[in-house]
Amino acid sequence: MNATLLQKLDGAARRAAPATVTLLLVLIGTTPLQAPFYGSIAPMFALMSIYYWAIHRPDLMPLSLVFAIGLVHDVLTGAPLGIHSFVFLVCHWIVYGQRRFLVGRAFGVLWWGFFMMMLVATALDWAAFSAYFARVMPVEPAVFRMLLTVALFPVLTWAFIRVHRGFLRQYG
Amino acid sequence: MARIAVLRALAQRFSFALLLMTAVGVMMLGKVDTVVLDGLRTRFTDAVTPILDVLSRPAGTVADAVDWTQQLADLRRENARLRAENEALLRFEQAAYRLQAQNEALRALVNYTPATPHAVVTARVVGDNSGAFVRSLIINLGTENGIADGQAVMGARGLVGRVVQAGERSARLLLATDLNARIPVLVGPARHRAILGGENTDRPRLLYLRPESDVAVGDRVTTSGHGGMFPPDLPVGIVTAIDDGAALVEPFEDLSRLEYVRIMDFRPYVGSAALRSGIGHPR
Repeated sequence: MNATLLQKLDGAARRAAPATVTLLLVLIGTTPLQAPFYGSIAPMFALMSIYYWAIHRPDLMPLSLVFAIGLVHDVLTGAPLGIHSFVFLVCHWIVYGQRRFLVGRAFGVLWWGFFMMMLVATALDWAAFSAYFARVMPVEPAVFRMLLTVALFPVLTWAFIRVHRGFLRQYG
Repeated sequence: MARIAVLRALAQRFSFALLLMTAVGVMMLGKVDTVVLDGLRTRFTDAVTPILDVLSRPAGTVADAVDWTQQLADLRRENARLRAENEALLRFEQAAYRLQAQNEALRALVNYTPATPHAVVTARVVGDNSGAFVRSLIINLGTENGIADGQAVMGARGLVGRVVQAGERSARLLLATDLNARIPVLVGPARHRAILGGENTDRPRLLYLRPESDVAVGDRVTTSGHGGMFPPDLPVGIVTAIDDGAALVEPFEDLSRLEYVRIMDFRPYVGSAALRSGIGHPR
């Protein structure tokens, strides 16, 4: 069966949905909310997206994309370049390794898995920054950011499911 | 089939290791040489700033609406507070008039030349949320508007930080609270010299204070202008706590919720076009 050019384009656009959504989330995460203290505890929306797609459509969240997302995150937040590429890659690797266990499980299990991944991500983030600046970083904002990210996970997951069903249904 | 699966797993593992090493490599490169990477970073930020600008507008509107409702809720208390503050300020006004007259008389006596005025440009904050370990912002103006690295940035009440990375249409600001921020300041009526050092907390710390200087809670902190980075006498904050000989400074400006900032061009002021052209005056 030969797909026409239009169908191919349509398919490509649909398969780009996870990447587009994740990059958009990096931008949204950088938008100032003018709420007190929000700046330092803004949730890591991008990690939720990486988690979701690494479990449900790993073919559309390749490692090179994870690397690029981390780099964009660093450029926009003013963090040392490469730090979040590193953190996101390790997170992806952990989730991908547990994929068989996580796929098709109840939502509570997914949430628990995300919490576990965020623990690792936060510890790694803190350690990487402390090593980079050769100084012990304050832990509190990182912990609050982790809790906020975990708390918002259901909302974003609902949105990912809508995107998944809306754009990628006929492709698996 | 099984062999293909094994190969695929190997390739996956290999590319993971490769990308992880690349990430570490980029980090080390950024630590050693910042010119090339910063150029790329600036260009990318320039390209994305229009999108951030659009995204930040609804967020600003929502924040305004929340503020408005909050103000409505405690209108009475706020009114009482403002009345009390107004009375206090009226007393200060009298003192200020008296001191101004005295100051002018003394200046005339010693033939004092006042500092040149600074050109100022106002920018919108379009990017924040730098995370737990970095305190910086992105604004929607760049070298096209006369913004240059090193310029001092003010909020409505006090110092915010300085420009660290000016692109064509965007710039990154380093807040005074960031770990890497070091600002020469003067403390209290005795004008003790010190360096204000950010610690990624909300209150930066006074460094290199001489042990004999009697800094007390409530002392005002202003920029000193030493080192030539900042204009002198910009309000920075107030000393709120002294523990273990280290003084913590609460900035006048609420750095966690900035919407607009003023960028000051401190270099000698050449006509009205100085800030707009961004060239034509020596550093």
